Amino acid sequence: MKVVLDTCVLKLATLPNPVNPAALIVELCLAEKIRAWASSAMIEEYQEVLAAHPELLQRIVSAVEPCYPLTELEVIRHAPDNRFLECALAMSADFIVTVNTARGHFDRVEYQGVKVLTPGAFVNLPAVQKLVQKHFGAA
Amino acid sequence: MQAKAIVGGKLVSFQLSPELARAHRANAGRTMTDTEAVACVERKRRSLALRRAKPYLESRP
Repeated sequence: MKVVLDTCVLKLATLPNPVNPAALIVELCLAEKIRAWASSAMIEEYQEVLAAHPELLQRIVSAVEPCYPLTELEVIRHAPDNRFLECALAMSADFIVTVNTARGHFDRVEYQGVKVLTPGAFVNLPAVQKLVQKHFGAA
Repeated sequence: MQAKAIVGGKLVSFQLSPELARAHRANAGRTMTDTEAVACVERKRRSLALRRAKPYLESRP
């Protein structure tokens, strides 16, 4: 399962929210149960947002697969979001996981076969539920 | 350290890796909604863009 994680998912994962599907997704990624891809532009943004957590940043950067999109897209009105879409389309990712589904951001259900899901919806996919059960012995 | 998520309609606990557990300890007592997380990322994006633009902006007469 190939995914592209929006930076806000990583930010949410670092917070002790009572219910935290973003943290579960990051754990699955660190355990290499799901394959996350990131371009250099995305990693730069990850570095900016996770600057207060250098060990976590290091683990995430080591866990994600590098991606080198050859095209610059202007599909999404909010320009920085296009960097994530470029990566997802270049890698034929299955999902973009984001909480930013507002108008002008990731406001479509899918982009050329790449589905957009929130962390809560992503962890409820049957395939992900199986992974959680296998890896954490839960669900 | 453990965290929780709703998976398949059930609240499940899972073990955090040492790195994520450290981040949770550092952020103890802080929570954030999805909207606040998006706003936080946007602030960081703006500051990154401003830092990048700084040499150009400073070199202008």
